[in-house]
Amino acid sequence: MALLELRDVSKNFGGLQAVNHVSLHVNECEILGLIGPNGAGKTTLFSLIGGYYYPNSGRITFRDHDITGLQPNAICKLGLARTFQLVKPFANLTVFDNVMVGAFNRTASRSEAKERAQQVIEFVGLNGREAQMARELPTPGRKRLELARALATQPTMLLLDEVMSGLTPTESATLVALIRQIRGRGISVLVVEHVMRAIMALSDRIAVLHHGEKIADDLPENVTKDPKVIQAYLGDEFMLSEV
Amino acid sequence: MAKVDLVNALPAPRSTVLVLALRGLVFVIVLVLPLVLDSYLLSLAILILFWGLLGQGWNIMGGYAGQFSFGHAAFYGLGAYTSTWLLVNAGVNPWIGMLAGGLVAVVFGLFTGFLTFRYGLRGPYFALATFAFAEMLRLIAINWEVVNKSRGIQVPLRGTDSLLAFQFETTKVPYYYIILGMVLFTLALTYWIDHSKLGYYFKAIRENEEAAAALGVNPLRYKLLAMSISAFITAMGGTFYSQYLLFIDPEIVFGPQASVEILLRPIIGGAGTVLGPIVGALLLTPLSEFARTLLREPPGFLALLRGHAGTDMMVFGALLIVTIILMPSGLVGWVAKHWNRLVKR
Amino acid sequence: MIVVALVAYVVVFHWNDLANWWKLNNIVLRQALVSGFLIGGIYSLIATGLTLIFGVLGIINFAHGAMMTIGMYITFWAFQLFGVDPYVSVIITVPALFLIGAVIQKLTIQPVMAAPAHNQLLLTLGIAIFIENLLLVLFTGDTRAVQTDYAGARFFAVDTMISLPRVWAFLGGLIVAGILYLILTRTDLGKAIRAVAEEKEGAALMGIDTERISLITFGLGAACAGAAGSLIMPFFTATPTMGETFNIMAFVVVVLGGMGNIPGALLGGIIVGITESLGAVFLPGSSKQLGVFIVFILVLLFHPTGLLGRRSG
Repeated sequence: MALLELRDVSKNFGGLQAVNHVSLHVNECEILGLIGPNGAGKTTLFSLIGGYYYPNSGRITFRDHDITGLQPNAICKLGLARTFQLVKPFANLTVFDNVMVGAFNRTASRSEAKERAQQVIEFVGLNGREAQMARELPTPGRKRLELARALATQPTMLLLDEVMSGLTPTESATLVALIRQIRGRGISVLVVEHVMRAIMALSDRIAVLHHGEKIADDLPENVTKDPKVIQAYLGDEFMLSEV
Repeated sequence: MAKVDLVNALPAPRSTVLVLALRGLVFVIVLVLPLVLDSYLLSLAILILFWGLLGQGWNIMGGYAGQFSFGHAAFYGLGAYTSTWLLVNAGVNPWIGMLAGGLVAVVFGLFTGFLTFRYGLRGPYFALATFAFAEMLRLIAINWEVVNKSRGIQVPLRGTDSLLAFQFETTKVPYYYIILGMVLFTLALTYWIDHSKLGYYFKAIRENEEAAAALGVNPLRYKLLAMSISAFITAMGGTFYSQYLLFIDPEIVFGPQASVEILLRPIIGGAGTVLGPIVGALLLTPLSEFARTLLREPPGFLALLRGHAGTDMMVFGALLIVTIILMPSGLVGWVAKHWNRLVKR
Repeated sequence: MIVVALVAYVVVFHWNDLANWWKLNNIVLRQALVSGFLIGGIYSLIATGLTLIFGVLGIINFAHGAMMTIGMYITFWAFQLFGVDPYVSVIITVPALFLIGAVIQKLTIQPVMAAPAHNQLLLTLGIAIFIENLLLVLFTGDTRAVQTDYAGARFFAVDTMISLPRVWAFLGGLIVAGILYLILTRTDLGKAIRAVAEEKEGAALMGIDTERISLITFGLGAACAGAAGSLIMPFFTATPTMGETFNIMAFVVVVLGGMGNIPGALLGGIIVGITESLGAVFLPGSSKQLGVFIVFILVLLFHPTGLLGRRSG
């Protein structure tokens, strides 16, 4: 059953058609990978789901609620949490307090939030760094923090925007394992990624965007063989041979 | 914004008893203080608490929620004018007037806040907008006969000392306890905010509004909430001023000078910390008072300064400059940082 | 719609009243427009310096009016002691204020460039307090004026009195702003300044010494304020705190024109000047600035990037 569903969603900026009649769904407990060459409209699509843009046409539903045009905070309240491609830590708060902000999404009680935050911090492997200021964390730590904050809001679905960019292969491998574990807890994941190897291994299903249109939506092994996808990636910096 | 959580910065729990004892001691000293102070020092103590209160008001919005207001005189003046006008023209008790003034300030804050936040004004733009709102109120008050234009309003003396009437002619001591009560109440409120969901949300908005929204924080709602709390406290200070000094005019309560004085102390003390505004008031208020008395009537060895008005404010300006350069996160932040270094060593 | 209907109603049914009102008021109005336009030129000049500083350093300089006041005192003493004509003294105030500005930037602003915005704002406020009171200590609070034989010079155009010194001040303001504009657009230094304003880190990567550029920019901004001080001396009296009002007006101008936008500052200055002098005609008592603040807030709310500012996301 579809948890998140986009029906015929379009968005243009001035004359530029960033997202063109895209329909997409994510099932419960599914990891959907969203890929596409640079400028394919992935981040725009992401922002549409997260409530940062209002689509020119189409509807977005999540858990049977119409979330088209809802404020980002309302969408988070419904259980759809996101991370940012360029991480946005609360730089002058401690790691623990960063996660606390997320934990307060489901409770007003400080002690409950604390408990929740501690669990999440241990889950993403940031324990021992609770008292550190977020601005002092190195890049991989910030990515984990971003994930921890989103998880602390107790979502039913996570939107991950290029969480693996800028990480070493070892670091992204641990993150892949972590995302699998998250799904194991019954949380669906929509992951936008440039690092192809990771996303192919991680996703149950892959959707491909090109020039704002969805050109493929299939199992990973079928997507890599799809001539349209190969065509789209030809000449781009990310050749499929990389996979 | 380098904010340091003083509570976390304090050393391990084994010294909690010590800290508690210290707090108790401070509390007792503060309580018995009026019994030992002469009238000059008492009025200084009242001034410290008064500026502490206004700073606490500013701190909720400017320090915690990070919405830098450069026009808190608007709330201060609305509080002062509402309660005083009601008292003079309708005989309304100043305590009720204080609540009314607070509410008027909250309504004004919600109105201006809604306009400015809705249109996404941030940082310097927001600061200048708040400044403009306060200036507009000042100009309106100067030209409005109902509030006596620039002549201001005198609070009538009713000849009896009474807590109920918020008026004491023979002694200043009750004013001390009144403002102390307000400060302690606000201190407790700030402490509570600092440790609750509200405070976390305020700080999240201050640090990064977009990220906060993605975590379920409604930025508009929480900014307006911060604005309301801030406006109410500041307006209470306005009523206190009017009842204590018995005279207000547009320049005093709505003027840019007031806006500056209100934000000065919390920033010097440490914006976004529980104790910052109080520390700032403790430091700056006596400093500016002593500078005034010392430099306006200089003793023999400083005779060359005699007759030169402005020396005090010049020194004050210089100190302000030096403090901001040397302690960018305020005194509380500075102490916490160095305390950490000491403890770690 | 309502406004249009109301205007139409008044025009159609009260034409005579309107004509009478115009007969009574058109001289006053024209006078207000002209003097507002002329003082607007001075606001433009002060705001040009302010907007330049904001564009490059990202700082709202509360000490800008105080720097203009320094320029006024220099002009006054040059006249008093050496008989230097106020217009000639521009060649003293400009380099003097450039130096003062550069020293202030080096000693106080540079150390807080990385600090939060509210610290920077408070710092410039501290500088303003310091300068104002230094002037008070040095020269007392007495008003100072230069007595030139052309102070009262004027001519009439269609019944409207036009004060010559104000015209000179306006033209002088345009010339100084024009020179600044040429420096910014035609010289290597100007290109470097604009590069820093555009993209600080990028400029630093290209080998531009951003610290030095900040220093020069602050100096140039202060020099504009100093020039304004000289130009208005023939028809304004100097007091230590008189810069405050000009400072506030300059802020409004800067926001109106778009922060960091020099042509915007010119346009904004004239709008503010006219709004203010119309306010003096139509608004009661001493509330002539109320109109300015209303315009200010409307612009902030509906077009916060300013009239000529770029739309930004």
